[in-house]
Amino acid sequence: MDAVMARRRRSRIHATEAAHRRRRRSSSSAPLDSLPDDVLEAILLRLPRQPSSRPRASAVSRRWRGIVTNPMFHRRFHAHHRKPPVLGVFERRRKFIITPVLAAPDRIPAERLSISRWMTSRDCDATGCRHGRVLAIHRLLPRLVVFAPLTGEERNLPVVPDEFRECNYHHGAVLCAASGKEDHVHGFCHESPFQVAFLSSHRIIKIEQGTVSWLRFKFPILEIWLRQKNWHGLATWLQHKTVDMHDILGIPPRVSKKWHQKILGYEEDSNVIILYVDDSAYMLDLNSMKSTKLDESRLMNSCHPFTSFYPPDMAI
Amino acid sequence: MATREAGKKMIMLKSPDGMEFEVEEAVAMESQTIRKMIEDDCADTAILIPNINSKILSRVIEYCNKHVPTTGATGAAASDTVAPAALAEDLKIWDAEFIKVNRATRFDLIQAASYLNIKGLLDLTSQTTIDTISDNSLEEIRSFLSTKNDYLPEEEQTIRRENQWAFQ
Repeated sequence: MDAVMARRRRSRIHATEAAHRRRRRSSSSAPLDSLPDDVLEAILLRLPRQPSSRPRASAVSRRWRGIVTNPMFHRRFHAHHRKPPVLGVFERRRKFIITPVLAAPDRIPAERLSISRWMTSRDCDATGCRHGRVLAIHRLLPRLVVFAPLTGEERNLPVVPDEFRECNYHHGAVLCAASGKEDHVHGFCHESPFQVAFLSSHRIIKIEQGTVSWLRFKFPILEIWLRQKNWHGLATWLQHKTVDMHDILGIPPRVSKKWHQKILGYEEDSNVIILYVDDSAYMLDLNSMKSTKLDESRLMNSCHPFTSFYPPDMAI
Repeated sequence: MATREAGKKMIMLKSPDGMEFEVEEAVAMESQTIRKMIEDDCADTAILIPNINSKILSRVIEYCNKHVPTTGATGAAASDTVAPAALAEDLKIWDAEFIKVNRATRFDLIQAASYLNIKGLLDLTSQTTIDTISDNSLEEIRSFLSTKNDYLPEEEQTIRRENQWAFQ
């Protein structure tokens, strides 16, 4: 009798386990499709910030496309990632081009990037790229040109202040006029108004929030200096870091040959610099101190890292 | 029922399958949804958490328990003795172990984290899901996530053609 009871109990247990397994099996094949839209959106917000990620996601299904092409999703995506990736460097070769720095499938082809026709003139030079826009100066006209390569948007500012005409060397920057607004995220500045600022002094860089830095590069040593206030409130330059670039750039030490070397460009949001050593350019991430070799046969001309999220309204 | 145990305010959380979990208020308040209920005085009695079964709810509480000291009121005391960087590293290792679950459980956790509004858990579960598919082809993504391709073949081709560079 006891044995029968025990058997029955056992079979009940087996039945329960089997039911449990069935439930587990059915739930483990529960498709992503059963998740509500807001939950699927929360997942897709974590797609990489690289330009290919959203076009690829939009090809998965109609539902995915509906989510990743929604303008509200774009805003949240940019807010989540905050800093747009460096897509390329804007530079003059035979003509002005954006040389991609990302490998396939994140390499946006040149025909998708529109360069202002003003840039074909030798008298027109780029002074900086920020917030998805390039700022250039036509020295003869004189005229300021601001254009967004990913959207084709272009604006000309024909009036140039007198003091600007007298300077021989200029730095300019596109400032996003939406800065300071609580809901604004840089990188989604294509739709925002912008301002242009000019400096005729040397470039200084921001390395950490609220700190001003200065870089000195004499291969193989990269010195990073920080501007800091001492106890008496006096500002001084302190040597923050000295980095031996041999290992970072992967170049063997050579002493006999005199090398060309220069800092070609800097991007504030991503905190990357473009260095030129010997006959190659390298993109160096100042936070991680990791470098990427850019393609060879580069001129020693200054270049401007171009950062942007891949714009949502461009044929995704 | 909100009770006090050793000076800590306790909150009762109930799952739809009838299980009850007594947790510290600070732990429960890792969930912004529950925090709002408590702050709006809607949490005097036990809080019923709809749509989250006891198995998932217990995992969520486990997560909140682990994460509360670094963000809650007791965080200051904890970080006095342990360096914040070491604490963060410890949490990262713990998170990596915690998320070693099957796909269905992970989806349930994502849904729970979304409903309960627990940012850290939503980040962890969603990011893990994205990481599993980031280097895969469309077909593999659909298969891994059991998501249906409802495009007509020619529609999919058109979409691929629009941004051919992204599929290389």
